Amino acid sequence: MTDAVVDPVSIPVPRSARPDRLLRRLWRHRSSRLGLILLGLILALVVLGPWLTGGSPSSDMAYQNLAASLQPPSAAHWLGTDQLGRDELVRLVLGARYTIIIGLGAVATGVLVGLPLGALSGFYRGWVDLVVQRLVDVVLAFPSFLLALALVAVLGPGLRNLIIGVALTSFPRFVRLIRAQVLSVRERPFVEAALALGVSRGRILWRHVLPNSMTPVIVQTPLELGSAVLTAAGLGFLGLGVRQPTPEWGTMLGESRDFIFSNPALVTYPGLCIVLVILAVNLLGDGARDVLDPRLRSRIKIPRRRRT
Amino acid sequence: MLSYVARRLLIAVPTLFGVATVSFLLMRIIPGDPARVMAGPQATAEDVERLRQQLGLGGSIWSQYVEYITRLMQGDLMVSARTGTPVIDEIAARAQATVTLAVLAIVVAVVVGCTLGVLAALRRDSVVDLILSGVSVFGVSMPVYWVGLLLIMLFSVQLGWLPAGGSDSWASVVLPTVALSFFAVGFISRQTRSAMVETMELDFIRSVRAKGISRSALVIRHGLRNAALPIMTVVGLQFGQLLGGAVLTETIFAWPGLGRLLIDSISARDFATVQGTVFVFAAALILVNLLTDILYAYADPRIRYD
Amino acid sequence: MTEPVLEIRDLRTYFHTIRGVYRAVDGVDLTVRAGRTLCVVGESGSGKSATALSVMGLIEAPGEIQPGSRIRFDGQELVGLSDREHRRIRGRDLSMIFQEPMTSLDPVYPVGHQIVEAIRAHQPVSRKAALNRAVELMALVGIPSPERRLWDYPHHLSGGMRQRVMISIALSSHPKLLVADEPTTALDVTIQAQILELMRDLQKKMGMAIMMITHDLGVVAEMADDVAVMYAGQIVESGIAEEVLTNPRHPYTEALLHAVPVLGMSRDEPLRVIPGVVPSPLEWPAGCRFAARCRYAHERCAEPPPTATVGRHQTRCWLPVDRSIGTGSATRTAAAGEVNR
Repeated sequence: MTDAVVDPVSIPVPRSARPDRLLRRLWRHRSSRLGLILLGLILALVVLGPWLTGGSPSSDMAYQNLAASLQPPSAAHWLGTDQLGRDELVRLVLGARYTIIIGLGAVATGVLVGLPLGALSGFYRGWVDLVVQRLVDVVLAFPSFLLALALVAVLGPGLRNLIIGVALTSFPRFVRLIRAQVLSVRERPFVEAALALGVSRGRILWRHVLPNSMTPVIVQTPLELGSAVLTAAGLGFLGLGVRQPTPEWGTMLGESRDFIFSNPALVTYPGLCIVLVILAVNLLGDGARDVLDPRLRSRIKIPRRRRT
Repeated sequence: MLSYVARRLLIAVPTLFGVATVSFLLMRIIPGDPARVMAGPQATAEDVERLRQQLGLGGSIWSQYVEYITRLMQGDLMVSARTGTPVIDEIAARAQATVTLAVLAIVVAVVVGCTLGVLAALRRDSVVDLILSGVSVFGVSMPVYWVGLLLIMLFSVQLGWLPAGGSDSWASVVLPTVALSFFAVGFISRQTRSAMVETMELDFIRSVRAKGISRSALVIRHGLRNAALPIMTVVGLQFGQLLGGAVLTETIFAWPGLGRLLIDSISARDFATVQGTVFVFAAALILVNLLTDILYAYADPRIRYD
Repeated sequence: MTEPVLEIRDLRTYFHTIRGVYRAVDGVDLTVRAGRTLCVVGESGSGKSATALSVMGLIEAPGEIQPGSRIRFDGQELVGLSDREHRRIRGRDLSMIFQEPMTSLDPVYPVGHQIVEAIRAHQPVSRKAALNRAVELMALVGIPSPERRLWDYPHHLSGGMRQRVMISIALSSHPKLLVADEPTTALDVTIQAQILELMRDLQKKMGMAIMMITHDLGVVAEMADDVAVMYAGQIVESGIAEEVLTNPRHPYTEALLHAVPVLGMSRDEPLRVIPGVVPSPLEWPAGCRFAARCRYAHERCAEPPPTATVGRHQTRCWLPVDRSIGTGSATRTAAAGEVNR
């Protein structure tokens, strides 16, 4: 009764891992379902934020009302007000936009840079591979948060630089992921068949190899979003994020430090928001690992423990 | 074994060189004239020029690069624009505090993380496992900067048990250590759990059980000893995260280490120090990864003798 | 006939899975007599290994030995012992070697260390004395220059050598019974023969009983004093090896013997394959479990078959198979042993 361990490299894209089916299987898994729900709620907040908060004066970023600063929760301000008298809940809801958009922007940039580099590196091998791999090694040699920190420090804060800084830390992982995938896919028979038919190499890479290499990228993307949000909010916390008075969770958390003795609630909320994002992607990632890892999957036929 | 170490060293050298190059470029991508930016608004033209020479920012980019690398190889990381002292001295003065914090955090994380992970693996699918899994997924989802603030709120503000910052007494090291090890505890316990689960299903575990040795000897001498190999790999890979976390932790708890130096230098636009500190952090990470590889080879006889 | 060292009665070992109860061992009766070798033979999935592990007390959740099962070893009941109590016997009076010598040793310790661990688990001796004993044991199982091999790691040794190390571990405390779960299956043919010879040799020297699990009738012919044929979680036929092999009374045993290619047999003569597949342990058939594949099946086989006993020869079948049905099987079997020698 030994379980055969399927070598994941020999089955780069299991049929069951096709994105549409993947989503269904993730939904069936306990922890990834929770992750999907949480992530869905957060994304809904990003989309609907301005509409939800439209009626409040605090939705205007420049709004201040020092007379109403640091109020406890009330019917008018469910989570109270901050040091400038702005409604905390409104700013948290609007903050979702900035935090998530920085994260998404960084991941998108990371994919846009990492995908072609990894694909070329894995498909053409040779000196391209050598150069790209050295580059990736060097970038990964830095503690990633510090690299983003240094870059933003040098370029100056702001949305664009924040995205560049965070993307710099995530693209090498995409390069490695895609390269490993392309390396195995290019050995599959249909690539040889296409070559024999006289299809150009560039076309093979674009039309055949890449589409068959995307599943791990899709799985990795939410995890990268989590790590991007973590990094971006960390920079915001240090005062290197978006400029005042933009409501971004990390920045809000950083500003709340001054009130840790007098008004600890302000520390709690933005931190909790960040945690929910990271928690969502980690739960999703745990589910994806269970669903995709053939060793774990074969365990389905092994039984839950029953004690008598 | 020797050839293995030599090979690892040979890979580390070009990486170190690449890291040096990236930190060199860091100061060259400053928008505008870096010397001007660093000298500050009150500086005269002579001040700027003197700083330019001190920081090796004169001449062509190639001559700058040659000068940078030459000075780096002599252990010279330029001069702080803020204090005028050599950056290497500033770093030396702060390094010990950061090393203390990082070592304490990693020791706590390994001890606590491995214990929890082994417990969860041995009671797989039980209530204990479920609770530990839940706790550890929270652990890896909590940003260090929030954990730090929560610890201050609880133990300094509410309970008044521990100082919120500084480095005056041994008590002040407790909260930074806990904050910094928080993520790593969750991470290591998750990795330990899965490594232990996999190891305890290997064939030899059954044949060792057939010897009739005690349960604890089985779990520790054979299970954990073998699971330690994959655990070591991921812990090594995660060390960079710990260093990044150290910078944030030092900021939150006013811990006088390299992280504080880095953040202070950023506020003061002292980019020579920023560049030097980041380089030292990266070099430390390369060193740790090298040590992990060597330790791994030592722990795995299949590598040691091949 | 010597007295029994191991008596198994109505052993049931079930695995609770999400798809149902997997009844791997479902009412096994076995007797191993002192100093003799019992071969338990059967296809994969018949429950042989689960039987061996049950004896060793190595069944882990979700597996469970059902109440009412009895395993009497050396005068002591093993079912219901705590793990701690079982550990005192396991590795001392009762030891086991496994199918996969390549993966049965801990890769991170030298083999000498692993032998010493087994010795010191049951004997209050110093590390130095244990090391000396390890060298003796390694010499005993035919490992050349044992002092030098002591500090070798498992990956330095060939499969045959590793199995010799496993045997030396198993014998380190003079067991009364050695359970061997397909100990030669993973090895080359020449090495197989060496290991089997070694085991016979050691049995002669040390006098332990052997319970050998195998699917290879060649091994049975080579090793067995007694034989038990296992099918679908039950023993369908048992008795003295010569008797069972030359005069099989159960249609399954007969079919097994026919499925072995024999040297000198015409190539045109097809091997008789047993049609069909082993039923699922999740749902054993109600009556005779072999009926669906049996060439002699009739209506009666829908009911659980009785056990027919002639001397020590027991058969679980409705049809007392007489010799005329099994024509030719006798001569073929005698030769089967020769092929795999």
